[in-house]
Amino acid sequence: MGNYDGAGKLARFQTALNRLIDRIADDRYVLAVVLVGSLREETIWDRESIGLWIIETDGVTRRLRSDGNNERIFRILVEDGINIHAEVIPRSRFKQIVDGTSRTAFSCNFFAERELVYCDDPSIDNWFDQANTVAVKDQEKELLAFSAWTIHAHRHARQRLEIKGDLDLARQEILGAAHSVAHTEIIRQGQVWEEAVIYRAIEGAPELFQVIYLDVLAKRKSKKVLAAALDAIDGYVDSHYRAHLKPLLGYLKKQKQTVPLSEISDHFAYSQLYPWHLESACEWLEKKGLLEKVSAPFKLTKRSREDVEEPAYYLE
Amino acid sequence: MRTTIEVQGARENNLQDVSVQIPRDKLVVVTGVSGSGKSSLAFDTVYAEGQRRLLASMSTFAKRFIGQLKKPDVDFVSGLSPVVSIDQKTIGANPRSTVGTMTDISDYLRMLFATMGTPHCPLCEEAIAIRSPYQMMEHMVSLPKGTEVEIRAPVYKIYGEDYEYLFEQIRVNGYRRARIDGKPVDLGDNIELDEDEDHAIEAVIDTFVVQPGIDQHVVTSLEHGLKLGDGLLGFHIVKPKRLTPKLKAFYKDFGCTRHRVVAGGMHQGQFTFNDPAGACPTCAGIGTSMRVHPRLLVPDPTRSLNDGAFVKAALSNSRDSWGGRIMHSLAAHYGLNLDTPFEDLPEEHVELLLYGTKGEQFEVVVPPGAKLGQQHAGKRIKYSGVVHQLEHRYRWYRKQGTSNAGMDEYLKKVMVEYDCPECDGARLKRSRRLVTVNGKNLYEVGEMHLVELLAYLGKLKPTVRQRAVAKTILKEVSTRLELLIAIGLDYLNLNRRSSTLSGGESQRIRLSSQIGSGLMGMLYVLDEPSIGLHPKDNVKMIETLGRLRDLGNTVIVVEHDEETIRAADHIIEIGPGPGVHGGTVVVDGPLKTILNDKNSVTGRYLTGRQSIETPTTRRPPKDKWINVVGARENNLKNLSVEIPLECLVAVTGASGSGKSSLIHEVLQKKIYSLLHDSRVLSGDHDELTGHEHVSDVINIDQAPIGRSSRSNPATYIGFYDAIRKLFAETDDARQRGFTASTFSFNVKGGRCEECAGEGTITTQLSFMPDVEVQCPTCKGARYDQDTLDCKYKGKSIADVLEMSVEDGVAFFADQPTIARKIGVLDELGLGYITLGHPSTILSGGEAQRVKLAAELGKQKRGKHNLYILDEPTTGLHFADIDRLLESLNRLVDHGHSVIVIEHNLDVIKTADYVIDLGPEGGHKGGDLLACGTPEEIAACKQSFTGQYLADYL
Repeated sequence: MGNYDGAGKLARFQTALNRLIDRIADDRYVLAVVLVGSLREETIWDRESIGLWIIETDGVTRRLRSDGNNERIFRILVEDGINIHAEVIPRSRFKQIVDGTSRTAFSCNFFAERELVYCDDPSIDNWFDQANTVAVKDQEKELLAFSAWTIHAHRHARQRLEIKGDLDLARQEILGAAHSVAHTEIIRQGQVWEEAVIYRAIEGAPELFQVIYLDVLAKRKSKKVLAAALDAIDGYVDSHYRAHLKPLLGYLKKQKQTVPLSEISDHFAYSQLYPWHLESACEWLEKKGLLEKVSAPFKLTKRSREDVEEPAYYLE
Repeated sequence: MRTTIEVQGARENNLQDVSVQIPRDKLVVVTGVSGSGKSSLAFDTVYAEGQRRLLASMSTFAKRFIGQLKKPDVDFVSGLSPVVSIDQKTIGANPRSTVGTMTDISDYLRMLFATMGTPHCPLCEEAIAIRSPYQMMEHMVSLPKGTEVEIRAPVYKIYGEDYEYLFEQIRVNGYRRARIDGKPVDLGDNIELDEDEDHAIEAVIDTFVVQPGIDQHVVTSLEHGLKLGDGLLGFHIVKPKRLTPKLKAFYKDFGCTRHRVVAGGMHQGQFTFNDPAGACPTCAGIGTSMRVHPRLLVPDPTRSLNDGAFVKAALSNSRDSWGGRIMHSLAAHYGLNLDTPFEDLPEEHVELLLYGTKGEQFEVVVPPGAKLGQQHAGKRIKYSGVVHQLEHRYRWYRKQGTSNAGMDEYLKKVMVEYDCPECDGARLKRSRRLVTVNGKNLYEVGEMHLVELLAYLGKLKPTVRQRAVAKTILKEVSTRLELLIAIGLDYLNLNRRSSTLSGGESQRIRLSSQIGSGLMGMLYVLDEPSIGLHPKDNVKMIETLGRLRDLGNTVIVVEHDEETIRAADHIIEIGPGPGVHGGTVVVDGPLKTILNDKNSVTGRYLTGRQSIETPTTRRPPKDKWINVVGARENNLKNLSVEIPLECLVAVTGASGSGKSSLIHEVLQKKIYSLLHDSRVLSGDHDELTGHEHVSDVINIDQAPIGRSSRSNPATYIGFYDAIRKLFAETDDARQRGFTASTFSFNVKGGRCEECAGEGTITTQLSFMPDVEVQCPTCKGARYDQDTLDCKYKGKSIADVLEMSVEDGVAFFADQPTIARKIGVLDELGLGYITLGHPSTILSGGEAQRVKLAAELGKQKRGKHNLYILDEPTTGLHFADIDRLLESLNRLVDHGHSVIVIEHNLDVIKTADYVIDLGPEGGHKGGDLLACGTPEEIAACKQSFTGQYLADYL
């Protein structure tokens, strides 16, 4: 570490933040400031700047040419030589991304790791409290998304290993699947998955991650090790699929008929789920024998008169 | 000051260097036999030049956005004013166009409702006050500091969707909290609700703690919330829980006392069904929804499933398709016979195909010989049926919120319209329907007949604050309504779709708008405004034209109607004959001049020197009748009528009395569905008998016969193929190895390739009119030189196309098939048109007569055809009507039946049998007033037609 002074750096960062807040407090158009990521002695060594969200009053946004057409506005400020990376968000849009459920919204329980460092609007304070409660449906959708990734990566890894015998790429795919499992584990615990996910997941389920992550990383590459990891991931998905794939199973159950993939994708259109997530999940469920995979007619263009076919699934 | 419009050297179409002085500020009638050049003078010269000059005065920039007009072939026109043409074109089939939108009255009423409307609480329907977001904010910030107020927006399920969908939509809009029946919920949770029960759902828009400086974000939040709540918001004090008298006072005079609902300020955009802010979310403001009609799914019930009984798009029978697998699987499981005609399938199997297995599973069987889909074999599935699947797909498509022409076209083939289940045809959102003016909402106001509506508006009493705006609106609406009533359209209502109006009705609506504009010094050019008008309504029309003139305008009317001609200040007769025999001014001057002119055909008919004879004997009805029982389509009032066959039958009655509903919607469609296509759905009626006496039903309407300039009477009637064969059989053609197709201008071979057989080449210029020049290679002949060198009786194929019908009769006299067909055209008064006359420039009346000629030329088609003609006298001069009647009588003499829907008393008096509906239009019509011979009708006192007819007999 040499002459590194963690406490001193933290103090300088904190002072810079306080100075900025002092200036902002006099600006009636700034309603709140949220610190993105924590300022802690353990993590400050990695920091080069401070991340903030600045919530402004509606209708006062200042746009620069460099913002282009992007709805989001980023500004780089400086205090005491410390750069501050701030996203400036109008109040109504902030409300929408806190409460809404679109691909541009924050993921569930996002605010747990955020600190409201300045607030001149009690409603925002209130939203912060409310947003920290996990939206069950959002959590379920995120579980579905990461489970789908796990299934997807696992499928590819299995093929690489068993058909091609390609240990290198199979290992890479398995590590990817392990990261998805780690995300799933963190979400299951009601936590935010953005930081050091794999380490936190290892702490929560050491036995599982020993096989699917640590052994794969540390042990000599062998078919046996990789196959064991794949079997463990398979077992993990298998034992949790009812919970992890719940939104999809619930939707198909409600339909009581064969549903084309395009309709399933449309149903989840405004969530964080993309069609390929859903396809992977459906295919896995079909292999498991829970879904019947058939096909449904599909028109490729607006004017097409002839049909092609798309996968369609039916839950027994 | 100029008192005339001077036209010099007009040569448009068949006009022969016509020079004429048209008096200004007068009612001028241009008349003459059909094809004489009346429209060429009035529309193609005077109107076209006036319009062109008006547009030419605009800047080059403006011209880029408007269509460019060609300069008419005329030396000089002076004394023109801004010109408006009011033709009889019916309005397109846009379902969003109504009488209200056409007349702009809907726009004014929207403003009236936004100004004077009283909103109501959606829960208890109590009238509530209107507050702007600023007023709401001011009221809120007047609360003691620290008070917490929750703002909620009432939201409702969309018909056919579940609560989950509604919750998703709320979250998509950025709101996560809600109250269901007053209880707070997190929409991020899984919420189970009984779908069959109604629940009060309120989305929590925001929660504010009252303190200084919150003004702006309160207002922004309220504005966002008002969008979700469709103009309604609820205000609830959540902290402190115990309300002090001061806090209780917050609710006083602020929205609904029971449910705390406040209405936001209203603007006119919220009352239009063309804006998502006002449109019913289920039908998107159309007022109708679609459902599958099983009969439309199976066009030919004699086909088996293997033969493709179902419309392909609904259920394909291909072995490799999903549909094929379903059919074979159902056949294997339920014993369905795929080779039995659909009509012979047992009811339970039809039910199975249409409505599914009702939860029962069956095994997928891959059809024998299928190349695809093997992987599905043996899987167990359920099937929801063709009807359910299509309706499910329709709802999904609607949810996408985007229009898709291909999908629309496909759905229209198998689905029928019915009133939207959410708005019942009102087109507006629930919250907009809750806004009333004098106890009526906007839809109810639109349902009123115009007289009733005028009385309703007269009773409105705006408050002092509303008076300034309301007074202007009421004046505008009342003026328009009075004009519409004066013009005989009192039976219409504002919600009536434009697509259901006749050409005459839409012309009169446009005419009333012009009068309503109050402009003077204008030049109006009208095309046969008397069409579609009962003689009683025609009087009103003439009065209206007079009113337009009295405002200080020049009114030029192309007209054949006797009453209109007599009412004119000045008459110009173009003629003397049609086509090349016309194109000159026979006589012009006041009525007296016309009456005394020996050369004037019009004068001869007006003075009675020449007339359409009333037949001395009429064909008595035979024992063959068609009975229509209990017709209720549109305004028909459970009407039962007997129609004699093998007679000339005239159906008469005031405009809107139900003539077209009876003849087209019920009679024609029913017979057509029985004889040809069971997918055609007839109008509402109990029974139709006697159709077994009819071999075919043929509607001869005035729709254009082709949209391409390559279509002409010769190709339409079909004798051009025979002419091409004649040319191919000439020695010249044989030597060159030419076939009949060499003589077609539509395919490569003998046509001029420079112009691709068009004869002209069109060059597009950016801000100047398109320039059409004669093809420099073929000089307009359409064929290459080799083809033109082949002559038949000394004429080339191009010469034949340029030949008039009357010349063609003599030229092809030795070719019976061709001569007969051309002869029919000549007999119908179309001798003046050329054989290659482009269909695109035929008038409606000419197109109808070409169609009639095509039918008369096909005598072998059926022994007892039923011909239906809607106003065949449109565009016909007295002299042409005589010829038309001869042709119609010839059809009847050949054992066919002819039904004409007609107002022309000369036609009615020659009919064998008359069916008179009425007494008035719309809700005052739909009854059978009288039926029998014209004499019997004339004797009937209740019949308005009879009263006018008596003078003609």
